Amino acid sequence: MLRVRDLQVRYGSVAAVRGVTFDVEPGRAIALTGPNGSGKTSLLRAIAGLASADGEVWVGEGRIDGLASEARAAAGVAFVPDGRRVFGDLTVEQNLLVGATTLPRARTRAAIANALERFPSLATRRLQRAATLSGGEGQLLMIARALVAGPQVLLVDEPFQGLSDEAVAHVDQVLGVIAADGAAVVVAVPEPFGDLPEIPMRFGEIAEVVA
Amino acid sequence: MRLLVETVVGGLFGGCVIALLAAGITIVHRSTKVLNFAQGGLATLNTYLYFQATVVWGWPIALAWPAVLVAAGFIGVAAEALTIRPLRRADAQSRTIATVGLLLVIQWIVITAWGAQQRFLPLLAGGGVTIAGVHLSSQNLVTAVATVAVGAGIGIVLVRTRFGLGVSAAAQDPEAARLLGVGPARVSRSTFALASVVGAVAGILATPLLVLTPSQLTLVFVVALGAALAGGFESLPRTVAAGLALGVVQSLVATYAPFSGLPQAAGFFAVLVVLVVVRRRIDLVELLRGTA
Amino acid sequence: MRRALWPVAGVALVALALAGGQPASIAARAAGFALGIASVVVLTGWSGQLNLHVAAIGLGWGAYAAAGLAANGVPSLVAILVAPFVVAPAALLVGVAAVRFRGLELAIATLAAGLAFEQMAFQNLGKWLARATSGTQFQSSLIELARPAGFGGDRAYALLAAIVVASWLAGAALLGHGRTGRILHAVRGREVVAEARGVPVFWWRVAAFVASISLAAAGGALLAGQTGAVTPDSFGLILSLQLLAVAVLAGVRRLEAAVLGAGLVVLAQEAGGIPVLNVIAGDRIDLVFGVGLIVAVWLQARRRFESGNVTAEAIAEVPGAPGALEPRAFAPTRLRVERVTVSFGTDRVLDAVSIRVGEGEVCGLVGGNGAGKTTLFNCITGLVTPAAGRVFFAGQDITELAPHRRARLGIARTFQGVELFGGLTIVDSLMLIAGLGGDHDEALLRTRAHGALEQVGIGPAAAFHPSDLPLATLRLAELATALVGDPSLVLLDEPLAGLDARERTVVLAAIARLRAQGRSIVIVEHDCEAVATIADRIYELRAGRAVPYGRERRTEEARVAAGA
Repeated sequence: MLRVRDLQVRYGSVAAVRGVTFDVEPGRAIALTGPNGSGKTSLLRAIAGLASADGEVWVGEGRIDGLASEARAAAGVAFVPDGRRVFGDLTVEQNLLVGATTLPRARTRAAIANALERFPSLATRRLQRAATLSGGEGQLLMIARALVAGPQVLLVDEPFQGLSDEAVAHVDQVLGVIAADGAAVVVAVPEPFGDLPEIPMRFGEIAEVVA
Repeated sequence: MRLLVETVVGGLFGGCVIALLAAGITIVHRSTKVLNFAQGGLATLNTYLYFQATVVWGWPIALAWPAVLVAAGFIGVAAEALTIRPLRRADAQSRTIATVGLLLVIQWIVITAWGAQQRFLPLLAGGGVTIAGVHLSSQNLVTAVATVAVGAGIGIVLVRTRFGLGVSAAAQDPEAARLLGVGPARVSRSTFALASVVGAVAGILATPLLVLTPSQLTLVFVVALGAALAGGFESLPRTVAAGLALGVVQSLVATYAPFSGLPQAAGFFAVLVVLVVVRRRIDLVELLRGTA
Repeated sequence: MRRALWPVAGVALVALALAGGQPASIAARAAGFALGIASVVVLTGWSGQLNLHVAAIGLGWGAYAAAGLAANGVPSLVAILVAPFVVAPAALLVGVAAVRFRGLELAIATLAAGLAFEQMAFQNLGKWLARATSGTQFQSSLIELARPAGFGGDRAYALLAAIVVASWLAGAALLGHGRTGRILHAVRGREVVAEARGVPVFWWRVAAFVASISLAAAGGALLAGQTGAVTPDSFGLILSLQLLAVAVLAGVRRLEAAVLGAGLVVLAQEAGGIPVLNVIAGDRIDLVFGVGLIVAVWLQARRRFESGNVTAEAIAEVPGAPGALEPRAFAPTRLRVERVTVSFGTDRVLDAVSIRVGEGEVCGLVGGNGAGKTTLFNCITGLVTPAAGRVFFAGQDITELAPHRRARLGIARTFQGVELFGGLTIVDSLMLIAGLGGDHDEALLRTRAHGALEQVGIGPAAAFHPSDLPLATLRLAELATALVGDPSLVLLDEPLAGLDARERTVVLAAIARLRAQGRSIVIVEHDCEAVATIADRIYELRAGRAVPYGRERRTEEARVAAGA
């Protein structure tokens, strides 16, 4: 369960997020919508700990807003940033291994095997250098890598940019499955997506949803 | 001809030391973007500890080596905790300047504890072998073996262990690595510790062939900077190759052009050459590209 | 306190000199070190470059130049005074080669070169010069440098040193003041802005390099005369690091560091016999400087994180809202970009892009990050030359014209959020930027600066620092920087960034006023809706191509179909 209370993000004198409050239940996925500059990315980065912010963030029963980013990863927050952020010089499997950093050593092998099973297209490319993957495969790798540690909260920033329709459908399907696993999922997208419940953002605030 | 071969071979051994120091510089830089100016100083300090253990206290080599290497690890961690860690939210440039401060502090420690006079370390092994008419001293062979061992060790750690992969990942994309739990603090600490240990090995291997003074290894460090530069501060294989090459260059100059001061300065001239050859010309267009 | 430092230091120096004997030699040495530290201030503090081995490349050069001159029969006094001027041409040659390197690479270059000098050049120079002076096969690398005639005593020499250091520091202070100081400030911090306004950044950096080395050379010559001998050992790496450390500790941006630092160094060298103070004596100087450097860096880092508090109320008030924009009949074209193509390596950022802006029109450029909007601006302003295509301004082909010439034709731009200098007031920032173009008249610059601020409606904000002002006012101030030269074409890079709805209205109103004055304006923005309220046409940049947006698309398509 993800709970955000009055989150504010400032970069110097620029207010990127001006007091946002919302909840996401476990097993649910929501779409964070809004144009460029509306604060979606800043909001997700703040929840993940990459941007300093005021306000409260709760994951389950634990409050995480005082923790550094790597500690939040250990606390069950997984953030997939936008753009191509795979570790290009490492293989697919090695990328996943890095994803297992916060897991106890004994569970690593099972978690990797699990991830490869869930993403068959990655399994066939296990030993391939990540830099050689296509756009869609790279996006899948980033999501798979974030899932290895079994997070309670998954945040994804604009996963569909530049992907083919086929890749989009695949990623969409994967996100649905993840939610079914019990994680709370937040996806930032420019426009409302499918039938996902929507939290629209405008100028750093949650806009009034016009019925 | 035989002189040439011996000179080149001797240079390769000398280059091992440069390569090790350069590897230490590169490992720290690729993951933390900090250029550790105290790398030579750390190597010096650890070598003096080895001197203290073997020459002053008379420990056997088999005991001194592991003890000093472990101590080197702790010293690396301590150095990082006192200089770099307080600056964790500052930019890499500030932390690099802090390593200059660290170098000065280490300088003081060494001079206060052991004085500024020259010291000597005994050879690790005496005698040698002769292969195809070329004489190889045992000291040199030990150096080569140790360098290969260290190199292989680092390679294995970086590629096969989960922790090492985390460090490699942090080198490519520090933010993405953080999101997976690989924190910059841990990366900084462990690369410093590793660099200190590698520096210790370099110093202990090099010193029997040189003399031990507070500043000797700092001079070698500057040549190692050239090797690290040639590797782009990123690629370990290129760095090691460049280190070996620089060793050969120094050896060749010492044998064939022993004009006053030239052998000592040869390494530095070589660094300047590397700079010119490898230089990344960051001109205005690229500066603008960042905002395009 | 800062102002008092100079007279106090001067009096102390003269007092020590007059005391003769040991104090006088301390004074002379302090003078030499002060020049070495001043060298670091000028190079690193003012122009942002790094010489890691100032003891060799600087002090050492000066000392050997002086000794060399004396060995060739030049009277010692002349040798010491003239040495830095002998060094300067060499510094120029080296500077032209070295300044191409930046940051870390320059640091490594100076380190390596300095050590090469230490290990080789100084040794051999010494031997060669020693042979020359004594006429025998003298193998030592020590060269003697006799005290100048008439200044042989410690007291007299110290007074000479005091005069020399005062003159050089005064000269350095002049360099750091006024227009040259402002230009160096821009070269250090806003290189792109300086280049765009026609400042030859490369040559300014070379000038700073030469000045820096000359300063250090003057100090080295003084030190050589003081000790009476020059050896390679005097110019070791540790001395360089100590001078660097002490300069950073004492505040590397200000010349006062030279005085404070020299005092520290000399105190450390002499404090052995003084209780309490001998804690920094002898070798402990390394510990003090090392720890001090780390602490200084830490303090500096902390200061940077404290963001300014907003204390002044929103001052921006622009009379009149945009209101209804009168539709313009076809306005004469002021700017035409024709099929411009730009590639960075294999990345084709702009692909045959064409846009048109008429007189008194607002043109919007929208598109995602990395779509090439800023690159298009750079083509129009001249910072980037397109691989193909032409740029026309008021009918003239300006594709090959240099940036500062385009500025004189009346093209101005803002850079995304980096126009203003944090340490200066708004009006000073504007004057600095206006003055980069080559105008010297302070009164004229001030008038223009105030005028520009009035035009966007924030005249009262002139005397404030950026950290005291709200964001909307800052955005308008950035707008004002582009207006100082009274341009006919204004390029605005994300003028609405970070503003909320109300603040956007204010800034858009200011832009509308500029449009009403007949200026042509091109705006790069993310927010299409906001731009659409005042734009006469909008282009969307997607995958390197410019596509007319919205209602304009039909008109453009019609025009293309009609073969216009």
